[in-house]
Amino acid sequence: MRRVAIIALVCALGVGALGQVTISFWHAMGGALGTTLTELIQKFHDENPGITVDLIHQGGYSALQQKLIAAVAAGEPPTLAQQYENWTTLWLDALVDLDLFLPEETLGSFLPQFDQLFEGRMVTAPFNKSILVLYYRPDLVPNPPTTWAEFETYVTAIGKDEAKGVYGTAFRPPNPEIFLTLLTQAGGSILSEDWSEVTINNATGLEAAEFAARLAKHALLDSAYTSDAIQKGIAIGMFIDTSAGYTYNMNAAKTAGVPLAVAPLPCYVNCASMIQGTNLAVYAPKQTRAQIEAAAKVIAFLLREDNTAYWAQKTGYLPVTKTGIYGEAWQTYIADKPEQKAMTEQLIAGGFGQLLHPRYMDMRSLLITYWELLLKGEDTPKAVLDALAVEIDAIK
Amino acid sequence: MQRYRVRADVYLLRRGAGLLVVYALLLVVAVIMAMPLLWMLSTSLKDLVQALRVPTPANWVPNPAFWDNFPTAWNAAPFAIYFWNSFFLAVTTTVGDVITSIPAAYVLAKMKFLGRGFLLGLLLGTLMIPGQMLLVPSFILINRLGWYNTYWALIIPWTAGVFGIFLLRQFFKTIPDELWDSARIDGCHRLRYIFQIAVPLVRPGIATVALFKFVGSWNAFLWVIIMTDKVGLRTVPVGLRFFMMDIGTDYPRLMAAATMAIVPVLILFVFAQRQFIQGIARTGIK
Repeated sequence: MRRVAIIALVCALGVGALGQVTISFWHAMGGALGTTLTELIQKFHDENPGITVDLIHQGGYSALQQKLIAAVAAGEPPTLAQQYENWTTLWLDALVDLDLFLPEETLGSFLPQFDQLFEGRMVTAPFNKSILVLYYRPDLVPNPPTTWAEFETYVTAIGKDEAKGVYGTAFRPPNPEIFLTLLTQAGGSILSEDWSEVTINNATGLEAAEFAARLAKHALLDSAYTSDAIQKGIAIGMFIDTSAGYTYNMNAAKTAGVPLAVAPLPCYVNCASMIQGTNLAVYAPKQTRAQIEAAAKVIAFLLREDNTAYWAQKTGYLPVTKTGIYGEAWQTYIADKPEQKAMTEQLIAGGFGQLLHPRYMDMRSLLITYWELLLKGEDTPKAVLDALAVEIDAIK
Repeated sequence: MQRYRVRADVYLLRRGAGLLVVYALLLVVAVIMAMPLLWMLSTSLKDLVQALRVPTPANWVPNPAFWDNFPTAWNAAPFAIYFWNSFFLAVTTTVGDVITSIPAAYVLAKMKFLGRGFLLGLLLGTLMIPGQMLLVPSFILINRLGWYNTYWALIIPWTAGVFGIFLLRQFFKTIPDELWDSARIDGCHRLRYIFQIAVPLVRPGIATVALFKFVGSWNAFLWVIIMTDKVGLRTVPVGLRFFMMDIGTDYPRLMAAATMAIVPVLILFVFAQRQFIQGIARTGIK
C-alpha cells in the first residue's frame, strides 16, 4: 500500500513537472518599479503554480534594446519583453499576434488610445504608460491655462530674466514629444494618414512651430531634466513634462521650497497629449505554444483591473485599461489626489501614441535636431519645418 | 666661506619655496581629483532630498546621515553574487590577458618576419571598431558555440586583447637586443629568455596591463547584460543599474552601491600603484 502511495506521489510530481512551463520576461524596470513588478509576478506565481516567469532585468532601456536586437538576430529572443513602439516595428515578424492568445475580456479592456495595430496586426499590449501634463507654480500662475492663448499670455507675462533665474516656461531639446503634442493639438501630423506625404510643414505644423518658437523666447532651454533646474532655485512658471516624472519634479520643488502643481495641458484645436512608455510583446521563435500561452496569461494578469491599478499607484504610471482607470481601486486612489486625477483626465481626453512607422526611430532623431534649431531660433519656423520635411521625406 | 653659506641658504630657501608651491598645486589637483569620490561618499549617506540640493559647502555633510542606505542598497539586488562574479571574471580575464599578451607582444617587438608591421597595423585597426557594432555578431557567435549564459562567454573572448599586446610590445622594444645575443651565447633558448629575463624587465608594463584589464572587467556592463540572463552570472555594474530608472535615479542608494563597488579596485590600486605609475610613465599613456 505504501509502495503504491509512493508511486502515485512520484507520478503526480512527474506530471506536475511535465506540466510546468517556464518563460523569460525581459524588462528594464529598476528600483521601486522593479520591486513592484517582482511583487506582481510573485502574485502571478501564487495564482498560476504551473507557470514560472524568469523576470530578468536588463539594466535599462538602452541595454534592453541592444539585447533584443541581438537576440532577435540570433533567433534567441525571450518569451516576453517590454518594448517601445519604434522597436516593435523593427522585428514585427518575430512577434506573436496577441489577439489570438489574450482573453476577450483583456482585449476589450484596452483604452482606445492603446488599440495599436502594426501593419494591421495586434502584437503588443500596453504596460507602463505616462502622459505629458502641465506642471505649474501656483504662486506664479494662480489659474493654470486651459488654452494656448492663456498659456502664452502667462509665459510672456512671467518673461525671461536670466540674471534672476526666472523663466516663463522650459523646454528640453532632446524631448521632441512636446512638439509632437503641439503639432497634434493644432490638428497636424508628421505624415498623411496613408504615409505617402510629409505633412509636418503644412499650415497646422507651422502654427505649432510658430507657437513653440514664441514660447521659446521666454523659456529655459536645457537638455537636463527640468527638475534639476527647479532644485537649483530657478523659477519656472510652467512646463510640460511626463506624468512619470511627478515624484522627481515634486521632490525638486520641495528641495527648492517652492510650490508645484499639475494640470491637464492647455488645448488648441484639441487636447491631445503624447503618451510615453513601453508595451509588452510575446516572441514566437524557439517558444512552444504552452510558453506563448503562458506569456499571454502574464499580460492578461498585469492588465487585470486590480493589478494595473496597483502598478499605477506604486509606480506613477497610469492604468492602461478601461477597467483599471474607471475601476474602484484607481478611482478611490485619485479621489483625494487632484494631480493624479489631472493626469488621468489628460490620458482619457487626448492621449495619443507614437507614429507606428518602421522608420519612426530615424524620424525622431531628425525631430530632436530640428526641435533644437526651432527652440534656439536659429532659423525661421518655416525654414526649420521645410528642412525637416525634406529629410523625413527622404526616409519615409 | 660665509659667502657660500649665504648662497646655500638662499638656494635652500628658494628650493623650499618652490617645493611649497609645487606641493600646494599638487594638493589642489588632488582635492579636485578626490571631489567626485568624496561627493559619492557624501551622497551615499543622504536621502534623496538632500542629494538633490545644490552642492554648497554646507551641503557636503549629510545631515542627518542615512547609514541604512548601505544595507538597503546591498539588499536591493543580489550584490554578494554580483561581487563574486565581478571578482572572478576580473581575475580570470586579467590572468588570461597577461598570459596571451606576453608572447604576442614579444613576437611583434623582437622577432622579425614578413608582414610583422601589417599584422600589428591590423591588430591596432581593430581598436577603431566600436564595440557596439560587434555586439550582434558576437551574440550570434556565442550562441552558436553554446556559451550563452555561461562563464565561458564572459571569460574566453576577453582573455586576449590588442591593448595589452600593444602596450607590452612598447615595453619589450625598450630591451636592448644585445641582451638576447648575450643570453644566446650563454646557451639560453628563446622561451627561457622571454620568461626569465625579458618578462621581469617589463614588470611595470605587465602591472599596467593587468590593472587596466582588471578595472575594465570589473566595470563590464553591456557585454554581461547581452551574454547572460541569469542573476547568478551577472556583475556589480549590472546591479548598479537597478537604481537607475527612466523616470529618475535613486542617487543615495546608487552612490552607496557605487562606494561598495569601488573598494576592491581601490585596494588593488593601493597594492599595485608603484608598478602602475612606473608603467604609465614609461609608456606615456594618459
